Amino acid sequence: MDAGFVVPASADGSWRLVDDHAARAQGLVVSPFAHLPEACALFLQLPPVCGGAWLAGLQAVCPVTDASGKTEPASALGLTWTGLQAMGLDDTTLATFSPAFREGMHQIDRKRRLSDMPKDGTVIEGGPLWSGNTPETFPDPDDPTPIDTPKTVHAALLLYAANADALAAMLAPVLPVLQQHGITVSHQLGLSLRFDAEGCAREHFGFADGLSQPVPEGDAIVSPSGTKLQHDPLHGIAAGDVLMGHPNAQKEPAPGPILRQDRDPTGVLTAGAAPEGFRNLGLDGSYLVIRELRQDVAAFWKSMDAAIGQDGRSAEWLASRVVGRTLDGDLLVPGGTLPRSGDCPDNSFSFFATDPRGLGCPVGSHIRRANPRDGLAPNAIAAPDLLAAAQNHRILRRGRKFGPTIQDPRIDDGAERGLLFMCLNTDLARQFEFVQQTWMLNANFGCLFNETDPLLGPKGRFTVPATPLRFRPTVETFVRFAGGEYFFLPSLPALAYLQSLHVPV
Amino acid sequence: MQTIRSVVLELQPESVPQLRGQLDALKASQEDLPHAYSAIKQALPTLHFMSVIIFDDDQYDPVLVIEVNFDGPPEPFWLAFQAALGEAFRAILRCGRVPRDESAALFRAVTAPGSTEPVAPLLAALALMPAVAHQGNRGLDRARIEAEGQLFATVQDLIDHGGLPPNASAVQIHTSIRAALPGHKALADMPPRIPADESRADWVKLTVFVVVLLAVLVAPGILLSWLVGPWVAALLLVGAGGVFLSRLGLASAVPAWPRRVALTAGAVLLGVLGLAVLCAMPGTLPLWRARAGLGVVGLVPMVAGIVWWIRALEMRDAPQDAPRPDPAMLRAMARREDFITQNHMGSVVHLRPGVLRAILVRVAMRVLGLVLRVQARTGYLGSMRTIHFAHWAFISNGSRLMFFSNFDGSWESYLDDFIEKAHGGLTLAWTGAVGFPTTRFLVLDGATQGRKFKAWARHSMAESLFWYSAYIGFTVNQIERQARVAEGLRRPLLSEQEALAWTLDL
Repeated sequence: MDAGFVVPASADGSWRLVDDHAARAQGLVVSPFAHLPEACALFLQLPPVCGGAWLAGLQAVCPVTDASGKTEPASALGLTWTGLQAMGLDDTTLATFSPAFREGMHQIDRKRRLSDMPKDGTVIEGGPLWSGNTPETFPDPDDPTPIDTPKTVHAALLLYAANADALAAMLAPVLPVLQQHGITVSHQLGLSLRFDAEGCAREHFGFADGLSQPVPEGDAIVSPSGTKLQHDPLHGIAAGDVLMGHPNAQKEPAPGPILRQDRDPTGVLTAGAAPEGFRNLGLDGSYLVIRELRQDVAAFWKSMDAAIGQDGRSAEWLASRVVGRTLDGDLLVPGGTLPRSGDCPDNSFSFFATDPRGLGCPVGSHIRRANPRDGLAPNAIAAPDLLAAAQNHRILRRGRKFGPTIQDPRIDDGAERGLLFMCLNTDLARQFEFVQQTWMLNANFGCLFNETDPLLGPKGRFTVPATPLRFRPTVETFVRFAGGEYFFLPSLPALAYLQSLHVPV
Repeated sequence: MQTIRSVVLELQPESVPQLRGQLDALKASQEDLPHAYSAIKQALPTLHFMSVIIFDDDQYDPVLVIEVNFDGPPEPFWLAFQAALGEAFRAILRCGRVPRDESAALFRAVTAPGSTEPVAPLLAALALMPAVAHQGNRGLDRARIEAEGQLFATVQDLIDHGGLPPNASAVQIHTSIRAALPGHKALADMPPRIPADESRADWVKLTVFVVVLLAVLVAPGILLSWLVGPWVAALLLVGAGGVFLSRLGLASAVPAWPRRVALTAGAVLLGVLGLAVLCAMPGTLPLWRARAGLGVVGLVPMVAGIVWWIRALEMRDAPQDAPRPDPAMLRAMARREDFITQNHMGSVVHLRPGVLRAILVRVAMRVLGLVLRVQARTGYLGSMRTIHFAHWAFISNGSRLMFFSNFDGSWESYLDDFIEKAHGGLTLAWTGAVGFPTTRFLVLDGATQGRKFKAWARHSMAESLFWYSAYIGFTVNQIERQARVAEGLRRPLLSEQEALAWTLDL
């Protein structure tokens, strides 16, 4: 995962959905709500059998924002598989969600793939705090212990407002509704974009973030002025990789959940591309990945100090190699940084032609692992193909930061802070999980050997290519996984259907 | 020279649960050693990868497959295998059904209660040659991979523990590392990875195959002219060519007018060519030349006819886009994956019936195998290089196709590599398989339909009950990198340019 460094206003508004889809999709799909800097995430636990009445109550006081335009305030809602089950969605429909979503982020084989096992060294002490607590369908005969987190999350409610007062006003009517329906807030995080004085969003280590985002392309996507988008080989991805029911990278409507027609008597759902006899519950919805990543800022900078030794280079020099960009977000290129064309760091670069061996931006650096562009090409002829291949694995990031800013980055104040990584994609295995396993935490990424992402990965070596000889310090662990789950981000019609669910009598 | 074999044995269905137990026990006994799998590692020093899988099938009784990838010829390998694992595998083979061919007596002798007959000859007799094989690090035997891996580690230690003079140039780095490692076994002179006669043989085989294929395709024209005389033959060939080309134009999936125009032009050209031959023929050409010419003219209707036939089949092929998942099997496979850098995949699929399909799948396999030998010498399939050893083989009298692969990274990423970077060859290999996603012209579409292809491929797999890798931490790319480092160190002196390129691998 691209440490979820979130998009500021710069990337917001380069595309939008055409009107009918905009009225159906959640606003979070098209916008990170950068104009609403104050936010919070409420992770909800539903009672065992609760139906959809709570959702109706919630919609009445705090409606989920659609994708039609800038709204103030805004909210978004995602549901886990166990959440949908608790609401009484039938088993046949539940079985039509993707295997990754059905099994949950904490299924034991998946934890191994995502490097979320305790032995991987990147999980908080005592194990992750929260998840959907999805039951294992086929318990391991050798290790039947179910993977339970202390807190169970059935829904994630994200609230966005212009300021703290507005957020409090937004929250005030929500809590009684939840209480009325027996819903508990099992976990809560205050979120921010962390703009600095110059208006640049920075994550806790101090780096400008959210500089690179994919741009969905397709019949349902237009420019803000309504014109057709030009294909962008560097950032363009199929709309269906973000929105279910739209053509995806594999040129078929992105699969999502479907529902038997007779279960939707009021007809709030449309057929979409669903088979005969079914309604498309997924159309204009998406999967939302949420991971709470705690950042140890003091450990990061102290590790940079220690690794640099007496070399005459600064901790900042090494830290920017770990990330692949300078603190202000400029790409490292051989001999310096990529010149800016305007005020913002230039993001329209590829790696193969200018920096194939990573002498500027190290091959194993965070941004190069998160999106290798054409950098994995074995030769120039293959570069366009490799760029196109990399586009099949992009994710749309929507993360925000939590916790206070550290006073002195080298002195641990004991406060919890970090990134609430959030991203949207429709094929969890091909997109989010691929990025995490095959790029970020792959010990053999790009011909490297025995090293993972220096920012997200566990303590280990990190190669900074140089001539005549690489510099290969050991860097510590600074980012730890504290909880997470896969959520279904329903369209507004799908939410309307879900709120019509009744408790079976 | 590396060898790939797979031993295939029909099983007594009732004995499968017991056999699974035996394989679990074999796995556990190897994993429980102080160094997991060290017994196999030492006793079989030429073995790279090995797997044992049971394939269940609704249409066939279960089969056991023992896949081995090793250095050198089979005979000494099977003897070493017998010494290391002979008794365990004798017990495993007892779960098999007595073969109905000439290996029956041998099978009975080896599996009889209390038998001490050597197992090796039976394994050798049951072993299949692959129809197509691919190797990522061709020509590197295991001893060399391990020695170069150790050399690489030693060099890293030397650098990381201050073994180099400060501010050394690339050339100085090379010479000082070299000086610090006198007599390292990886630095001994090595034979070329692919001997010249092996390369020559690859090219000769491909050439012979192409010549034979051409001969088969021109034969009908020659035969026809011999049977009915050049005049009638020419008329028939031109007519058939025109018919097939126009059928092809009408049958093509894309009803685009440019294609029609091109096909019409092709038909006109064929007519002109035919007329030219006709005009030249009476009296002016010796008969044998006329016949040879007609053979060449006959290529057009032959090829057009075959392509039209293929398209006709492809348009009516029934894909299985939604194979019924077996959640228990999916979980059983996932439970064994992603523990080390490499993963394993074994798959068995049914082949589509029909004369043309039967010929095509064999010709396609042959072409793929021969082309890979001359084309994929560096391990790259397109732009992907993640396969250590992979092979296809026909089983069940050619009615089923088996695929085995030992690859780097996750199964998902491996399949994505195929989908994104090497779909043509894979589509060609599997186009004749029942349920494979729809194809066009044998190499188009097919595997590019990623989700359907993954679902189909996953469904064809079974869990790798026993799987062994001799070098679990090394990817194909890392083995090549280690080989480059060793190769550089074998040379006493590098130019500045060479040294700079060489140090980038350190």
